[in-house]
Amino acid sequence: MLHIATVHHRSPRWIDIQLAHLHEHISMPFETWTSLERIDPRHGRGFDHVIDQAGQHAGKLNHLALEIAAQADPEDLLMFLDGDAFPIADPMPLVQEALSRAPLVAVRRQESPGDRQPHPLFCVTRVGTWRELDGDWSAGYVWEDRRGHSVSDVGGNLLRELELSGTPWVEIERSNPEAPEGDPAAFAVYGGVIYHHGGGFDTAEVNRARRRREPPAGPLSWLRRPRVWARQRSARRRERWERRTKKELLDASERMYGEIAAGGQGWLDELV
Amino acid sequence: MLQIATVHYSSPRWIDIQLAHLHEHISVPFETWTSLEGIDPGHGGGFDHVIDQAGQHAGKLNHLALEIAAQADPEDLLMFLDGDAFPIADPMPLVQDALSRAPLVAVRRDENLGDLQPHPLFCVTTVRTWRELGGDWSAGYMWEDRLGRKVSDVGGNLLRQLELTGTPWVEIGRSNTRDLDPIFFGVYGGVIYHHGAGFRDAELTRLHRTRAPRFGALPGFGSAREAMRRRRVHRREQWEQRSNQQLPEPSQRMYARIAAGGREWLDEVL
Repeated sequence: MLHIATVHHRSPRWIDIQLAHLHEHISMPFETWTSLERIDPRHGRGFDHVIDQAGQHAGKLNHLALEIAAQADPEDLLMFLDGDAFPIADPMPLVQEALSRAPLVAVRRQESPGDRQPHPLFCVTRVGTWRELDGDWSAGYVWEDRRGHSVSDVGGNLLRELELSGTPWVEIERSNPEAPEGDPAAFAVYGGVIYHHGGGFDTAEVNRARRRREPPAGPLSWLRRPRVWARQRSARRRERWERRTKKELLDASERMYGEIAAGGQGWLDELV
Repeated sequence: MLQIATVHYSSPRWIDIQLAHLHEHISVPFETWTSLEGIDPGHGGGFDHVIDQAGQHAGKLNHLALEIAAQADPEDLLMFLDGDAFPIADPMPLVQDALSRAPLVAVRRDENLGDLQPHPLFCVTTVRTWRELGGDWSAGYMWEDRLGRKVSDVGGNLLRQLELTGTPWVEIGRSNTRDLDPIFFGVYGGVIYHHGAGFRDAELTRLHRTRAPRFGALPGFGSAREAMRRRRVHRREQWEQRSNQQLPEPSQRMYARIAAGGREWLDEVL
């Protein structure tokens, strides 16, 4: 049996799309587990288990895994899937092949400046492995990103658990090119089988990946007053960039969502 | 050996106070583990282990426990202690007695609308128990508070882990005889002080928010209804602002008394 843990928050917009794609593409028996904080409970009818939850995304995933582990067989498969992610082809051959090589398989988002950690947008392991690892999706553990910044993010503690226990994992990478503009982490296909919209519940967020395209600050003068003016100019430029970026991202996200919601495969042809 | 995990964030103001009280009151050999996000690393000199971290409080505690478990003996004691909490007497007799009855002992903040979960402001277990439980301080799992509302908070998932595994735990309650605030400035089991507004001087708790103005259903329709909604939002914001401005004053006054040393400040709460 496969147990799929997915969290929806505030908006039901991805629920029907996700469920339809799961039923279309998953080739083995599965049960779905979700939480629907700030969503009308009637939207939960298509899921097998709806659990009351509040808090951050990582804590909700940890809790779903806990509830699953209390009912599932240790040999059952446990899949984490972001609310705005879904299969576009059967992922199980890729999963089975990966799990024959390592106990955990997950997306690694290279496009989010060199993220090293497994990402819960798509991750599969066995219930028994998750328990043995004491799996935890929280951020905490810090690594250096491609720009030399110390960062942590969701999946950070899981990366550390894998390192400390010497557990290998199979990384699934992005298989479609990044859009030349907009959010480098959005509209992504991983391993040819999983689509992740990115910013699905918070389209106005300018995340670390998006900030790669932030305009650099201009040179600062040695003189005090021109230095202050240059700082103010840079701050204004960044604010304008942020406002413009949010609007562009929202427009692009809505356009793509509209195409996906309309059905068919046309939207995929744009991406792959 | 006792391994103490504590997170300091953004301000070093509690570090020296906490370390001094730990060295004064803890009666067994111990090591301290911390992270100092947003704090000059020069303040880490008094800790045995300083770990780079970023993220939310619960994830940082989970990560510290992970690093401790990788190095410590499974029978070592693992203590979680908030950055603005410290012992005011030796907590080890209370801890040892509690651990003879159950594998985990922690503060339960009944005063916060009947919180059910163990709180990381003070919690002790063994490294082995923490690993076996798959301990997780995150919020997620919900329970019903005293007002009948479903809530979650830090420690929620740990509560669920204890329930699902049938693991009993010993609850330590608030023991103040004088309450300057219903949540802040707490003494637990007579041995641990928790300032409560330590790193977020102006953050209102769930209990404080129950005092916010309450409104009935919105009357009317159309623009009149919208105008009424806006007036209510404005009133609520004004209340938040006023309350946020009032909170820091007693917090800072108490902090100054604690930082000045001595035990007179305890008379206000014990």
